[in-house]
Amino acid sequence: MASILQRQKSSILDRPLSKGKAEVNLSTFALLFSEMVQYCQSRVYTVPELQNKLTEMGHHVGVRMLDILFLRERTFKREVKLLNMLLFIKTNLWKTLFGKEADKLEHANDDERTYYIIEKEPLLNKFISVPKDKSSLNCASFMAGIIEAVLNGCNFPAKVTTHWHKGTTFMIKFDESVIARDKTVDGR
Amino acid sequence: MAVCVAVISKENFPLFIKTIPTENELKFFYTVHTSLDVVEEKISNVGKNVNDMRELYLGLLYPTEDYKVYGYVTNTKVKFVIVVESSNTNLRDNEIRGMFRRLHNAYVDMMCNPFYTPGENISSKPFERIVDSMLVQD
Repeated sequence: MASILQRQKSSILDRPLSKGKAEVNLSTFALLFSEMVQYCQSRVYTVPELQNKLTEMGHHVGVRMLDILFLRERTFKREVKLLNMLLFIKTNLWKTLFGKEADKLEHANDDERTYYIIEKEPLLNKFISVPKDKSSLNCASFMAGIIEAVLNGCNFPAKVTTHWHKGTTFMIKFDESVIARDKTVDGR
Repeated sequence: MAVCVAVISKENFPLFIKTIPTENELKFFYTVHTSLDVVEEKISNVGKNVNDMRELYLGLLYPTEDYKVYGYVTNTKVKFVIVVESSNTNLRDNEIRGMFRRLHNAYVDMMCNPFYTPGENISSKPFERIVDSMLVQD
């Protein structure tokens, strides 16, 4: 029996992705993303609706990214601390998706439930010029959806919204219960 | 090796259960169902060391007369339960751990399929094949 287990080679999921292969052509992605935005736009009437639709699409990506990233990079460990989870998003998730870390992670001064992830020039918005009559539209809502799905999947229920502030800011508002639980968990 | 492998969703409904022998299926359903309470207890343990809480593998959940039940919870709170026969003494903790890892790998492979909606019953053939390889007697 032991010999059977030993013979099993470590599967491809056990190893981190090789850096060179992980990249996708930016133009191709931009084309796909622009089609996604157009698809959403043709089905809604208002800007918030459009953003919600993009967020929803992000969820599908988020739930899948979450599982695979934890398997590859966290060596079979769970994340229980809030701050570590946010750092995981800022570094690991961002690196896998965009090849770089997020620019900034900030904590709101007046509200302990709120955190900000700031990205000066999101890759998603690189080729998107927002029309004048829809100035509040930020297509990075798609990214907000990914973040939201990752946090919800890890049992940190949160609401993520997108704002134009120092580039693009993702505002993460955690559930009351998350903060309460985080205080009971001791240690680093 | 194992006599029953089960995957249970975040909300505690079964996504996938496979047993050998098949005629006693219901008994294993009960066993897996009862084990969920132990899983819940283990992961909600407050005040435990952070490093203990981070471990996905939960170890032996409880032994019955004929079987031993092992548990594993992914970070998305999907539970894997493996039941092995108590008489099978050459299964060490490390091997059980290895089985869970393979199961987790297979689950993530299946999860990354864009046509799979999270929370649906698992009908993926590659996934089933891996489970089968754990179920066969040697």
